[in-house]
Amino acid sequence: EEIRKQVQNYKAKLSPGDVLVIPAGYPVAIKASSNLNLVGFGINAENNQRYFLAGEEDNVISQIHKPVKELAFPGSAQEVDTLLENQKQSHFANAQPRERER
Amino acid sequence: VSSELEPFNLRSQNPKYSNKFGKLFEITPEKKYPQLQDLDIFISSVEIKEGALILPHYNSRAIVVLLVNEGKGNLELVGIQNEQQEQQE
Repeated sequence: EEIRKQVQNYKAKLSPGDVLVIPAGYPVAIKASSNLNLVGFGINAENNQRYFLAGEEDNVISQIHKPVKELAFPGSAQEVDTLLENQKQSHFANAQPRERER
Repeated sequence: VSSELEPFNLRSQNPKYSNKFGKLFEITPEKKYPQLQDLDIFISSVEIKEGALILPHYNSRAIVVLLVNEGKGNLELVGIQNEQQEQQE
Protein backbone atom coordinates (compact mmCIF):
# COMPACT_ATOMS: atom_id res chain seq x y z
CA GLU A 1 0.00 0.00 0.00
CA GLU A 2 1.11 3.51 -0.73
CA ILE A 3 2.28 5.52 2.25
CA ARG A 4 1.51 9.18 1.90
CA LYS A 5 3.58 11.76 3.71
CA GLN A 6 1.95 14.69 5.37
CA VAL A 7 3.39 17.93 6.68
CA GLN A 8 3.00 18.23 10.44
CA ASN A 9 3.23 21.57 12.20
CA TYR A 10 4.40 21.77 15.83
CA LYS A 11 4.07 25.00 17.80
CA ALA A 12 5.41 25.89 21.23
CA LYS A 13 5.47 28.89 23.53
CA LEU A 14 8.90 29.38 25.04
CA SER A 15 9.64 30.41 28.64
CA PRO A 16 12.87 30.33 30.66
CA GLY A 17 13.85 26.78 31.61
CA ASP A 18 12.04 25.14 28.69
CA VAL A 19 13.89 22.49 26.69
CA LEU A 20 13.15 21.57 23.07
CA VAL A 21 14.56 19.01 20.66
CA ILE A 22 14.93 19.98 17.01
CA PRO A 23 15.54 16.88 14.89
CA ALA A 24 17.98 17.12 11.99
CA GLY A 25 16.32 18.19 8.77
CA TYR A 26 13.23 19.62 10.46
CA PRO A 27 12.70 23.28 9.56
CA VAL A 28 12.29 25.61 12.51
CA ALA A 29 11.60 29.31 13.09
CA ILE A 30 11.60 31.15 16.43
CA LYS A 31 10.03 34.52 17.15
CA ALA A 32 10.97 36.53 20.22
CA SER A 33 8.16 38.26 22.09
CA SER A 34 10.74 39.71 24.49
CA ASN A 35 14.53 39.71 24.23
CA LEU A 36 15.24 36.00 23.97
CA ASN A 37 18.39 34.08 24.85
CA LEU A 38 18.77 30.40 23.95
CA VAL A 39 21.54 27.88 24.42
CA GLY A 40 21.83 25.06 21.89
CA PHE A 41 23.62 21.72 22.10
CA GLY A 42 24.02 20.01 18.74
CA ILE A 43 24.43 16.22 18.80
CA ASN A 44 26.13 14.57 15.79
CA ALA A 45 27.62 17.97 15.02
CA GLU A 46 30.47 17.03 12.71
CA ASN A 47 30.02 18.55 9.24
CA ASN A 48 26.64 19.98 10.20
CA GLN A 49 25.36 22.77 7.95
CA ARG A 50 22.60 25.21 8.81
CA TYR A 51 20.46 25.92 5.73
CA PHE A 52 18.04 28.83 5.62
CA LEU A 53 14.73 28.87 3.74
CA ALA A 54 14.37 32.66 3.74
CA GLY A 55 16.66 35.68 3.67
CA GLU A 56 19.57 36.61 1.47
CA GLU A 57 22.51 34.58 2.78
CA ASP A 58 22.66 30.78 3.13
CA ASN A 59 19.24 30.48 1.48
CA VAL A 60 18.95 27.07 -0.20
CA ILE A 61 15.85 27.95 -2.19
CA SER A 62 17.65 30.83 -3.95
CA GLN A 63 20.31 28.32 -5.03
CA ILE A 64 17.86 26.18 -7.00
CA HIS A 65 18.44 26.61 -10.73
CA LYS A 66 15.84 28.63 -12.63
CA PRO A 67 14.37 25.81 -14.77
CA VAL A 68 13.94 23.69 -11.63
CA LYS A 69 12.21 26.55 -9.80
CA GLU A 70 9.91 26.88 -12.78
CA LEU A 71 8.82 23.25 -12.36
CA ALA A 72 8.80 23.02 -8.58
CA PHE A 73 6.69 26.07 -7.72
CA PRO A 74 3.31 27.23 -9.02
CA GLY A 75 4.69 30.68 -9.93
CA SER A 76 7.27 31.34 -12.64
CA ALA A 77 10.99 31.31 -11.73
CA GLN A 78 10.98 35.10 -12.08
CA GLU A 79 8.09 35.45 -9.63
CA VAL A 80 9.79 33.09 -7.18
CA ASP A 81 13.04 35.08 -7.37
CA THR A 82 11.19 38.37 -6.83
CA LEU A 83 9.54 36.93 -3.72
CA LEU A 84 12.84 35.57 -2.38
CA GLU A 85 14.57 38.89 -2.90
CA ASN A 86 11.94 40.74 -0.87
CA GLN A 87 13.59 39.60 2.37
CA LYS A 88 16.73 41.72 2.46
CA GLN A 89 17.92 40.59 5.89
CA SER A 90 19.75 37.33 6.54
CA HIS A 91 19.42 34.86 9.44
CA PHE A 92 17.52 37.26 11.73
CA ALA A 93 14.74 39.60 10.62
CA ASN A 94 12.02 41.87 11.93
CA ALA A 95 8.88 39.90 12.75
CA GLN A 96 6.60 42.89 13.28
CA PRO A 97 3.97 43.32 10.62
CA ARG A 98 4.69 46.66 9.01
CA GLU A 99 3.02 48.82 6.41
CA ARG A 100 4.06 48.34 2.83
CA GLU A 101 6.69 50.76 1.66
CA ARG A 102 6.75 52.22 -1.84
CA VAL B 1 46.90 25.73 21.95
CA SER B 2 44.30 23.19 20.85
CA SER B 3 45.43 20.45 23.20
CA GLU B 4 44.84 22.47 26.36
CA LEU B 5 41.71 21.22 28.03
CA GLU B 6 40.69 24.54 29.46
CA PRO B 7 37.24 26.06 29.72
CA PHE B 8 36.37 28.19 26.73
CA ASN B 9 33.89 30.98 26.24
CA LEU B 10 31.28 30.88 23.49
CA ARG B 11 31.23 34.64 23.24
CA SER B 12 34.96 35.19 23.14
CA GLN B 13 34.89 34.89 19.34
CA ASN B 14 32.90 36.70 16.68
CA PRO B 15 29.26 35.67 16.16
CA LYS B 16 28.57 33.45 13.16
CA TYR B 17 25.50 35.53 12.28
CA SER B 18 24.86 39.02 13.54
CA ASN B 19 22.59 41.91 12.65
CA LYS B 20 20.40 44.38 14.50
CA PHE B 21 17.73 41.68 15.06
CA GLY B 22 19.91 39.01 16.61
CA LYS B 23 23.19 37.17 17.06
CA LEU B 24 24.28 33.55 16.95
CA PHE B 25 27.55 32.42 18.53
CA GLU B 26 28.66 28.89 17.79
CA ILE B 27 31.60 26.62 18.47
CA THR B 28 31.74 23.49 16.35
CA PRO B 29 34.00 20.42 16.59
CA GLU B 30 35.75 21.67 13.42
CA LYS B 31 37.19 24.58 15.36
CA LYS B 32 39.71 22.29 17.02
CA TYR B 33 38.22 22.13 20.44
CA PRO B 34 39.15 18.58 21.50
CA GLN B 35 36.46 18.55 24.16
CA LEU B 36 33.81 19.06 21.48
CA GLN B 37 35.45 16.72 18.97
CA ASP B 38 35.41 13.89 21.51
CA LEU B 39 31.69 14.37 22.12
CA ASP B 40 30.80 15.28 18.51
CA ILE B 41 28.80 18.22 19.83
CA PHE B 42 28.46 21.87 18.89
CA ILE B 43 27.33 24.53 21.31
CA SER B 44 25.62 27.76 20.43
CA SER B 45 24.17 30.81 22.06
CA VAL B 46 21.35 32.61 20.27
CA GLU B 47 20.09 36.11 21.02
CA ILE B 48 16.91 37.27 19.34
CA LYS B 49 15.72 40.83 19.90
CA GLU B 50 12.16 41.52 20.98
CA GLY B 51 9.87 41.51 17.96
CA ALA B 52 12.41 39.74 15.74
CA LEU B 53 12.73 36.18 14.51
CA ILE B 54 15.34 33.72 13.40
CA LEU B 55 14.36 32.92 9.82
CA PRO B 56 13.17 29.39 8.94
CA HIS B 57 16.13 27.03 8.70
CA TYR B 58 17.18 23.44 9.30
CA ASN B 59 20.30 21.61 10.40
CA SER B 60 21.63 19.07 7.94
CA ARG B 61 22.96 16.52 10.44
CA ALA B 62 22.75 17.74 14.01
CA ILE B 63 19.92 17.09 16.46
CA VAL B 64 19.69 20.27 18.51
CA VAL B 65 18.66 20.40 22.15
CA LEU B 66 17.56 23.98 22.86
CA LEU B 67 17.36 25.45 26.33
CA VAL B 68 15.49 28.70 26.92
CA ASN B 69 17.73 30.79 29.12
CA GLU B 70 15.92 34.11 29.19
CA GLY B 71 12.88 35.71 27.63
CA LYS B 72 9.73 34.59 25.89
CA GLY B 73 8.97 33.53 22.38
CA ASN B 74 7.18 31.23 19.98
CA LEU B 75 8.66 28.32 18.09
CA GLU B 76 7.34 26.57 15.01
CA LEU B 77 8.73 23.25 13.87
CA VAL B 78 7.74 21.39 10.71
CA GLY B 79 7.97 17.64 10.34
CA ILE B 80 6.75 14.91 8.03
CA GLN B 81 4.29 12.31 9.15
CA ASN B 82 2.89 9.25 7.39
CA GLU B 83 -0.78 9.70 6.68
CA GLN B 84 -1.54 6.18 7.96
CA GLN B 85 -0.59 7.15 11.50
CA GLU B 86 -3.29 9.81 11.44
CA GLN B 87 -6.01 7.23 10.95
CA GLN B 88 -5.33 5.62 14.34
CA GLU B 89 -7.98 7.22 16.52
